[in-house]
Amino acid sequence: MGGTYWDETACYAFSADQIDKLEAVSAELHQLCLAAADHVVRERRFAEFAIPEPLQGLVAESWRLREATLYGRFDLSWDGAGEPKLLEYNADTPTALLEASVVQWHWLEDTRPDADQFNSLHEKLIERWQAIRGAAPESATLHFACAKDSDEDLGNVEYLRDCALQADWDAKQLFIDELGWDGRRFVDLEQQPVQVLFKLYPWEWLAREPFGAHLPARSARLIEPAWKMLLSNKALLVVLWELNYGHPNLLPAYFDERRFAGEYARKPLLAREGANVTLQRRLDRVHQPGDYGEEGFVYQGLAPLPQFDGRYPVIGSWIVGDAAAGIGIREDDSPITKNSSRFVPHYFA
Amino acid sequence: MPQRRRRSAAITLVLAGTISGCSEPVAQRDAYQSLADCRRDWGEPQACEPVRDKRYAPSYFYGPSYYGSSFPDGRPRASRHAMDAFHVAGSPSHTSPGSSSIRRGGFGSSAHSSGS
Repeated sequence: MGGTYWDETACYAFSADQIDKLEAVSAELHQLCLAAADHVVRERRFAEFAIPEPLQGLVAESWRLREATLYGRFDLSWDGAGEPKLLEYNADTPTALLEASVVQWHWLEDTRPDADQFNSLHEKLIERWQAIRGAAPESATLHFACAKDSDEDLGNVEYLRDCALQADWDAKQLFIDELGWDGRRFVDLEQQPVQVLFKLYPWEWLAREPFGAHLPARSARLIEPAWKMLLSNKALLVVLWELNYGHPNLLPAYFDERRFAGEYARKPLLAREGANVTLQRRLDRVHQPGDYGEEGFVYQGLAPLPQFDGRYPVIGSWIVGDAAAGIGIREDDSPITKNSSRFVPHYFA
Repeated sequence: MPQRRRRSAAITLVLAGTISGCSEPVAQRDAYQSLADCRRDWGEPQACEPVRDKRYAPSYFYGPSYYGSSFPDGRPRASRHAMDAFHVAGSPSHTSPGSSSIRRGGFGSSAHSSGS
């Protein structure tokens, strides 16, 4: 990675009341998202989410079974006063987990051992893996897969595998392109069936690749499950606003930019790390290039990130299972958070 | 009333050294007491070769290098009919023991960093 990523030249100090607020808001937003998923499935609004027809049944069935979710991360805009605003929910392939869970925990131990931190990610992840294991076939191995060429993704996956091993799973790692198909089921490199697969690989990518045709057969249980396609899609923002109009933690969001008089953020339905996001402001426009957007866009009211000495922080608020589990803060020199944005630790007292 | 603790009480990692994101899985080779055992795991005879490096007796055989699984302490887990396994440097020459009816590479073509 080029440039500074872990940045402890600064840190964020919260009050206990502020942490209470973040915890409560995150838990509530998660519940609103679950209700939105239920609505989308019941009303079969899959086309608005650009979910391919062959996968729509898979999403619906996955939701009907309430297939287990491990985690997700809200991105919130908040300056510590008023109401945090939801920017998006990284519900399928959230990263920056190891630094939020482990690295900033050690930073706190080393620098402010008497303070506290909103970060019980590690123990909640282990508990969550234990719960998922309790619902899986007793002999099942948990496989972890990610793209081969991303050290960041591999680091996240290996950390989650670590937590799974501590939850008494037999846990194996392989790369996503190493997954095999034997004609009936997915298999690993030793030809053993893949029954439960944690994949740090977006559902929309799985769906469009050659083995995507095997997904509706449901030979393996995937984590995150198929219904998370609804929550990781920016169309969720529109449905959330529609179902909870005026909610203090939501921003107006529509499929039609004409609903906004002047300022808005244009976001691709499916995108990662700020790619193809445009901030249309009264006096200027900030655009982040990328390769996304062919599925369409949503338009969201602006909640500009606060600015401290030229740094724009976004709060990543983690959900593990259904519980708010901690935060990680990313900073950038621009108002759009990107893959290269710095991670800055926090504490509260 | 004392304030509720919000941070993890303790953090232990069992895969220390591999979660930096800068290490890759290491290929392994399995050692067999006989050519027959090696063939039982790998099928094709050309996948097996006699031991020549004095690591084991010259009557033993090596299977090809591949990415297998490991025990929690990092030691490679041997295939079913092997009597030992060890890590080797470099890319694997095979993807798995066994037959060729398995197709691979059906996922991964969209890949760049997948996180968000």
